[in-house]
Parts: sequence; C-alpha cells; structure tokens
Amino acid sequence: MVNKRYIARRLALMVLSIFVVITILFFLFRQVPGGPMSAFTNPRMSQAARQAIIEQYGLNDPLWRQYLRYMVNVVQLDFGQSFYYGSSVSSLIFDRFVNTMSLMLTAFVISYTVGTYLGAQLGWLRGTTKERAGMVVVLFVRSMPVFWTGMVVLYVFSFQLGLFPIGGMRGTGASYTTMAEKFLSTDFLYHVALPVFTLCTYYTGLPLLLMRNNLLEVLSESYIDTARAKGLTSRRVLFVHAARNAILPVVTAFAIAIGFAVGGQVLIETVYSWPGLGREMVQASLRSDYPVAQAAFALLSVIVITMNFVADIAYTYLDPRVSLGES
Amino acid sequence: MRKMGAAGAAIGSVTIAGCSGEQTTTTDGGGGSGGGDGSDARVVEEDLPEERMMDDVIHLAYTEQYNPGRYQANRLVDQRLTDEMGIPTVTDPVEATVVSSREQAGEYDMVTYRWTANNGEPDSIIVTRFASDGSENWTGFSSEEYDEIAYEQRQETDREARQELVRQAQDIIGEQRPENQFLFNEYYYAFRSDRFEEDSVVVTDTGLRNIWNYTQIEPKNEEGNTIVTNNWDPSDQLNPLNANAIGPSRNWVPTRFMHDMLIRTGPELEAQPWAATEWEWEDDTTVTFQLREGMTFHDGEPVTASDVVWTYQMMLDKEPPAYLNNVVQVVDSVEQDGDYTVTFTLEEPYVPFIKTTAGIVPILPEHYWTQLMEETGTTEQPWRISITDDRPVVGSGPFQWGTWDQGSRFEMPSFDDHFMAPNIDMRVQRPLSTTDAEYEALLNGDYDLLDFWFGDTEQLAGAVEENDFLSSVETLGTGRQSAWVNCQRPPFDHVPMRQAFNAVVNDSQQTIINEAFDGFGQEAHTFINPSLSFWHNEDTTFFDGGIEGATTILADAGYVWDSDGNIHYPEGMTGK
Amino acid sequence: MAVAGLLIILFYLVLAVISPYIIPYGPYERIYMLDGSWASLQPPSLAHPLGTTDSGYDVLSQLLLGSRIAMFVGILGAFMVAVIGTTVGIVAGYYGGWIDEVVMRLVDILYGLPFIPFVIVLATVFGASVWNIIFGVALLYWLSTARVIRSEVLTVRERPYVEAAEAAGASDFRIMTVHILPNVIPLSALYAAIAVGYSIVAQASVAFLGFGDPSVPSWGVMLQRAFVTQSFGQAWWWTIPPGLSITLVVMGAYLVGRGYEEVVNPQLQEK
Repeated sequence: MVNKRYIARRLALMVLSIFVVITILFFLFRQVPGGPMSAFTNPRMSQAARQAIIEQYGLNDPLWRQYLRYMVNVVQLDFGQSFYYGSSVSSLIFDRFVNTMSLMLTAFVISYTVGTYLGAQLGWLRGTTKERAGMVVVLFVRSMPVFWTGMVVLYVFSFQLGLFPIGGMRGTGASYTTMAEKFLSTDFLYHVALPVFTLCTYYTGLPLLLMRNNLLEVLSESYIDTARAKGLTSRRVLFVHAARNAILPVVTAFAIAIGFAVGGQVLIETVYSWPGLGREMVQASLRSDYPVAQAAFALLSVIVITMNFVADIAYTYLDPRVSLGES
Repeated sequence: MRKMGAAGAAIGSVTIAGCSGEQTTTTDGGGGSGGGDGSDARVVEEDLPEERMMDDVIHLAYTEQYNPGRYQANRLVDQRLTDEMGIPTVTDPVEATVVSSREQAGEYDMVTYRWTANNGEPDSIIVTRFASDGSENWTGFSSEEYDEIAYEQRQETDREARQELVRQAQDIIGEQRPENQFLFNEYYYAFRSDRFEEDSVVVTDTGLRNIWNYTQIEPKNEEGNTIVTNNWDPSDQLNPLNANAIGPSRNWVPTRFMHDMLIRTGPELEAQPWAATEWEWEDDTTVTFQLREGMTFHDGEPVTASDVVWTYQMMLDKEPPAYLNNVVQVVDSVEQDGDYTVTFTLEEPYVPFIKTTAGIVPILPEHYWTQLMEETGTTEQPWRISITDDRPVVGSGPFQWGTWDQGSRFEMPSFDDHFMAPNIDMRVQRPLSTTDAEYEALLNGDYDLLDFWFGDTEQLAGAVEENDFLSSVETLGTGRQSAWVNCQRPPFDHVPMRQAFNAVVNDSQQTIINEAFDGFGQEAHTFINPSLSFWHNEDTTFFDGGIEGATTILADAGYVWDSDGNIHYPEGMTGK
Repeated sequence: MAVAGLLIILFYLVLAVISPYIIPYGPYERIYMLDGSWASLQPPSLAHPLGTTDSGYDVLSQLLLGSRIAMFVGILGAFMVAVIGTTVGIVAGYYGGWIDEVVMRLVDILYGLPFIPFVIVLATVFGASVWNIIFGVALLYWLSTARVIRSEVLTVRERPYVEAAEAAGASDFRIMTVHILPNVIPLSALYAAIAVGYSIVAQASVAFLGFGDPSVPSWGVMLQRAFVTQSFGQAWWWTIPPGLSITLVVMGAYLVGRGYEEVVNPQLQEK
C-alpha cells in the first residue's frame, strides 16, 4: 500500500535526521578548546591517573573509532557519565525531559484551545474595528521576546503582588515519592502557573493567526453561503461548519510548533529556574559538562524531529486532499 | 550603606540615604577610583614591537548570578586595570565548578573567590596554598626561601617562635604577591527565631553551618524540627576521599556532618574531643588517641581502632591528593593497641597535627569501604568512586545519609545513636536558584535559616529589623576574599606585575567594601584573618600609591606604554 | 499598518546610526552620587531619563547603543536568509531531480536542529560572540525561505517565457537570474523582512542566556544583567525599555512584511 510506503520513507528520513544531528554534535564537541575532557583532567594529576582517564574514555583512539563507540553507546541510550554530577547522563536527562514535557504540554493544550477559539472569533469579526484592534494586540504579544515576557510577568505577579513563587518547580518542603504525586500536587500547580501563563502568551499567537486566516478562506467558500441560505444562525455556521473545516491545519501546526517551541522552552526554563532539559543544557554548557550538554541537545532535537514526523503523518491522515503516494 | 566599627575606617561611612532629589555626577567624583587615563609615571615610547604588547589578561570569575558582590568587585578591578593601567583585562565569568577545574588546570591569569581553612590553623594555608608542593597551590608560586619557612613552622614546637615564622611567611607572600586580598568579609546570617531557642544557636567562623550549631540548636516547635536551608546542592562530589568533598562548603558540610573525626575544632577554634576522648603527645613525633567507646556507624557496626587505622593506612597507601599535605607527607605509621587506642608516629615533628590531620580526616568504616572499592573495581583510586543514593555515604557522624535528589535537594536525618545526637530530626539542603527566591523563602517560612547569603545584605538586615520572627548573627570568619594570580605564565610570572596589581587592588578596597559588599567587610593585606589574632601579621608588606604607585613599579621594571596607552613588556620580554 | 511598521523600523535605524553621537554617557561609564558612592539603581530622573543600572551605568545610553547591534544583526540576518534561501530554492526548484532531492532532504534534516540550543552549542565550542548568532541564523533560518521559493520556482519554470528561453539555448545561470529570480524576489523580500525580527529576537535570547558578548551593550545583554542581578524585581526602568524596543522592532518588521505581502498578493487584502 502507498500509505505504508510513505510512512516507511518518512520514518527512514526521521532516523537519518537523528543520526546526522548526533553526528554533527559529536564532531562539534571535539572542537572544544582543549578537547572534550579538558575540564576533567588537570595537569597536577599524576601521569598514571591521567592515562587511566584517557584510556577509560578512549581519547587516544583514532577519531573514527571514538565516533563509532559513541554511536554504539548512544544507540543503547548510554550517553556516558556527567562530569558535573558524576552520575549517568541518561537517568539525569530523562528526569529533566519529564519536567520539560510537563510544562510544555500544559502550555500547549491551553494555548491551542484558547488560540483556536480566539482566532475563530477574530475571523468572524473580520473587517471591524474590533478585529483590527485585536490584531494589533496579537501581533504585539507575538513580537514580545518570551524571556522578557517572563521577566515582566514575574515583576508583576511575584515581586509586586507576591502571588506566585519566583521560580523553581516545587516548594522547599515538598518531597515526593511517585511521579503522580509530583505532578498532581497543588504545590506543582502553584509553581507551574506563571511559566505556563508566559508560554501561553508566546504559543497562542500561531494557532490564533492560523485559525483566523483559515476561517477567512473557508468562509469565502460556497457551502458556507449554502448553510447561511438554509437559515442557520451565524454562530452555528461559525462553529459547526466553518470552524470545523478551518481547524485542520491548526491541528497539524500543533506538532510542528512543538518543534519550534523548544527554543522558547529553553528561555522560559531559565527565567523560571524550571529544572528541565533546556535549562540543564544551558547550565551544562556553562559548566563545560559536555556529555550532558550533548545529550540534552540530542534529546531536544529528537523531540523536534519526532514532532515533525508526527505532523506529517497526521496531516496525511487528517487531510483527504493530500495524496499519500506522492511527496 | 552601613557604618563600620573600628576597622571599617572613615571613608566607609558615606551614605546613600535620601538621595531622591540629588543630582548625580560622573567619573571624577569616584570613591577612591583615582584619576583618569593613567599616571605621569608612565614611560611612553613610539614604534614598540608587536611582540612586546601584552595579551588579554584573563580574570577567571564566578558569575554575577552566583555572587553579585564578588562580580562587581572583579569588574571594578578589571576596568581599572584596563582603563587606567593599559593592561587589557577580561572578566571571564564561568560556573562554579568550571572555576575550580580551570584554576587547577592553570587556565587563567587571575581568579577570585573566598577561601578559608575553617580550623584556625595557619599551616592549612601556609603549606597547602603556597608551598611548592602544596596540595592546593594552584598559583604555582614557588620560592625556596618560602618553602623553608613554611616547613619549619609546622615543626616548631615553641609557640612564640612559630608565631614569628608564620608572620615571616605572610610577609614573603605579601612581598611576592601571588595572592591579592580584596577584603575580609563580614558575614551576615539570618534565622527564624520563632522556631529556635535563640541562646541555643552556636555561631562559629563558618556562621551557622557548623556541627556545634546543628547538634545543639533547640527547636521551639514542630516546624523547627526539620531545618531547611539554602546551602547549595552538593552536586559534584560527596566521596570523602575526594578533594571536592572537603573543599567547597556545599560539599564539606555533608562530609563533616556525616562523618566523625578524632577531634573537632570547637567554636573558639580550639581542639575539642570528639571520636577521641583524649590524646597525648609522647614525644614530638608520637601521639596516642583514646577512642570513645560504644560508637557505631550508621549501619550499626561498631567504630573501633581498626577502622581508624584502616582509614589512615589506606591514605598512606593510595595517596589521595586531598590528603597529601596533612596525612601522606606527615604520618609515618599508625598502629592500634586494643579496640580503643591508636598511636601515630610522624615522619618529623608536625605541630598542627591535631587540628589539620586528626580534625579533618573522616573515620571511614573499613567493612563498607573495602566492599565499595571491590564492587566498583576502584581499588587504586578510591576517591573516584561516585557516591549516590545507591552507594551512599556510611559514616558515624551526627547526621546520616537520607536522600539526594541531585541538583535540587539533599536530606540528612539525624543519627539518634550518636553521642552528640542533634535535637532536630533532619537537615535539608534545598538551594533555590536566585537570591530573591531564597529571601522570600526565609520570610514565608519555607526556610528555617540561611546557611549563607550572597544577596543584598542591606536588604536582609532590613528584613531582620522589621520582622520579629527573624534574628541574625554576624561574623568576620577566618577567611578572606582574594585574587590569586597564575605565577607560572605571563604576565604574572613577573613579580613587579603582581606588585602593581596589588597596588591597584589595594586602592580599590574601600570601593569594593562599600559598593560591592554594602560596607560588610574590612580592608585586607594578608592571607591570615585578624580574627586569628595570634597569627595575623598586621605589618605584612603590601603596595599602595594607587595607579601612580602601580605605574611607578612597572616603569621601574622596564614596562612601557605606547601612545594609545597600551602597556608593553620590558625589552627582552615578550609574554609568550 | 505597514506604514506604522516602516516608521518604527526607520526610527530605530536612525537611532542606530546616530546613537554614538548622542549618548549622554559611555555605556559602561560609572555614575556617582554627589557623596562619591555609586549611583546604583537610581530611578529615572532628569539627568538619567531611564535611571541607572545596578553597577551605576546610564540605562538610556546602553539602550541607544543597543539599537546598533540589533539593527546590525537584524539586517545581516535578513540578508543571509534572503540570499541563501533564495539561491537554494531557485537551484533546487529549477534543476529538480536528484539535486532537488538532496537539497530538500538536507532542509528536512536541518529542521531537526532547534535554533537556540544550536547557537548555545556554537557559543560553547567557539566562544561567545555576535558572529555565532549570525552564523546560526545563516545556517538554520533559510529553511522555510528555501522551501517556499522552491515551490514558487516550480510553477514559474513551467511558464511559456522560461520554456522559450530554454529553447533559445539560454544558459541555466541566465534563466535562473534573468527569468526566474525577478519572479521570486517579492517572496524572498517578505521572508527577509520577517527574518529581521527573528534575528533580533535570536540575538537577544542567546545573549540573555549568557552566551552573548558581555562587553558589547546589546538589548539582550541589558536584560541578562537585569535578570542575573535580580534587579528586574524592582528596577522596571532597566527591564522595560530594551524589551519594549525588541518587541517594537520585531512587530515593525512583521508589519512591513505583511504590508508588502498585501501589496503583491491582493487576495490577502481585507475587504
């Protein structure tokens, strides 16, 4: 079946992308001044001790062999040991990954619900002063650098009003034993509120504009006029007929936007001290903890690549107009 | 700003109060910041060869986020060197762990932080930091004359004579200037007085984070039973054999709290019985300790003389770098006599032995460590074993390993079977990422006390004054904040450069104290804090005269400037 | 709206050009109180309309100078995006076949590199500087442009006059530059306009994370310092102006792009 062939092709591209990204990373990090282990060996170390480390990490092997070993390890999800934490990178990164996703997905669901709704409203109001004013606001909010929004939100809600904590993911007293406990507690909600709000101001723009534009297109199509002619109320036309058709591209944009959102995530995690992948990557880079930086980046890339894949596949299933054979 | 007492001196008393209507002025009025574009002492030459031009001087620094005051101080000094001396200085802020690794690798020209040995023993600085083979001599400073005095003082049993040697050592370092003091900080610590009996709080040179405080502090209510504090997460190393577990305070707190030593340095920096109830010098090189009976490790096994012997013998065999100066170089042999008597024989007299060896080396459980070394296959370099929740620390100290959520939280429940069992149930190290968040946490009760405070001291002092439930303590500590220079590469391998740098730093001290540290500090010219008054040499050589003085030193040594004001090396030197 | 956008951009462009001559203080010139202490975190006053920073520097002077970096990065970034994206798009679209296949798969793969993390890696490896950001923009931001230009080229190359030129034996280079390029220029101009905003935000974001060059006063560096010193909790005069400037420039660029789009693509014009 063509369908299967397309998916297989797309899957192959995804694997290739991940492979290339990890390769680029490997060679980039070999360019670090002093070599990737510079932070880890020091001149006062005895010759034997230094030799032991060099051997342990195989730094004397030819580059291609180091590369092969790295790839073999990565396939087994082994990213080595963190220089900074001294523990395995994989378990560390997984923990941060969960934190990142908990924040990002919450913000996404809210943004896309609100954005789609507001976009439909704006599209419906086309040509009015209200719509123009609304568009200016939307454009302005969308132009704000997300880290700055975060600072302003913190200034207002934490520093001036004292309503929310200044950062972090949990209170000082909180300690949890299970994942569910961690993410369903009021303490978590209290900490997640401001970062989610900030991310929403950043994410809402895209679905909103898409929804509005699609709606404008759909509204110009003939069957809407037919629906109107049948005497349906305008609100019913909007939500039952027009919006239902306009929402399709927004759904696929959801997945693509997750990819782009990763950058914003890095910033917001820094502003709110959120212990996620992005912040870990920034800190690992600043600490010269290259194994962690490398793994965090790889995982961020994998999120993007996977989401692009999901978006493409979803699109082919959701939109009957896309023929699956060609590409 | 805050008025200082005796040592703070007159210039320290300017105030910012009521400045709303005040007009501001620019550079010229600068508090202690000398004149504009260099001094008349400069020797200016045309057509200087390119290779004599000075490369960027790298000032390895902690980030502004980590310690804003220190960063400000660094920027001030670097700007003055660049603008007023023509020495191109670059502030290079990096994360805390990178500072230590780069310092140890010699990848820096200057590096600034606060350092103290916490035991009041000058040997821990004199040998460890500046002797040619000192285990933490990262500056690479090396002087035969100095080494001789440094090793002589540790053998000198006559206290007065030793005092003289210690003062001489300070003077040589003062003259040679591998270290340039910014200030002696005064530290301000705040705690929730609504949760603890105020007179049970013990303050030492390390503030509130000392074992005496944590074992003696008396909670008033349930909330005080668990102390949550802002000490950093012990992120990098908790292996008691690793230098990092006994160096930075984020790590030494857990290490010292979970282990016992033969003795401990008391609140007045005196040696106090601990795992050993008494000790006796049989002669200058033989000392015998009597162990306390009935002690157990956290896993229930008894602590005996054989654990002590094993710990020291293992150090002598494996030579962990962290214990080079105070164990490996010093101890000849260690023997037990029955279950509770241990005798040390030293290679030669070592006066500070009680404090710097018996007071620092943690007593490790032989049964647990031999197993650890075997399981991990790390028998030759046991300091490399990484300690985690799966392979925790087992010691015999007043606190024990709880859980470690790396990067955010470290819990130590108290060990009830200890002879000094704490009154509280648990201590939690729970850093927040910003000083503002920590401030809030203290006010809203999430924190019980602040282990340290790098934020705005005036702000914290204001909060303590306003709120009945907060109290504070202040201490001068035993440390100093200094810039160490790399003596092994240009430009600071040349003594006049170091002296000139010292003159610039000294000229900036008042500004550093007043502006960067809100007036909480005193001028400093030597590495031994005045709180150790017996050892402190207040006549240590230092260089003054500000920019003028610094320029004169350099001009006399042959340094010249081009017409754009860039400094060049003396003839015959290239800085490569 | 497009006019408003253009005015904003012009305003900041002019600032960028004249700022070195009109700044009242050096960006890192210490301001002192009359008693000789540092003028830290002073709220706006006549002498300092935007107050001072934690270290006693004049915010207005830093803000004005910051427009230079912003405009430099914005315009250079936009130029790179337009040039690279258009070239790649035309070549892929015109030749088709395996060239197209290779180029487009490359585009797909590069889509997997998240921009800000990638620039962090560059800064870690090569040191912090404005050039890493320009390089990152040049490497990753042309992707959408190339995709769009390519599909545009696919339709343009079927047009009779292109086929006529081919039949007349015109070289590939000539066909691409003379016959195809003029048709896609409006599109690449649109993407360039939007890239101005992207590049400026990218530069500010990376500087904010601490991977910018701290010695160059840019808006991102200003915000970073307000953040790391924790001063943004009180000194709104230090935080609001640079952030607002970024927002305005980005919005201005977008409005210009959108206005342009409406001119060249009347379908989009609102009734």
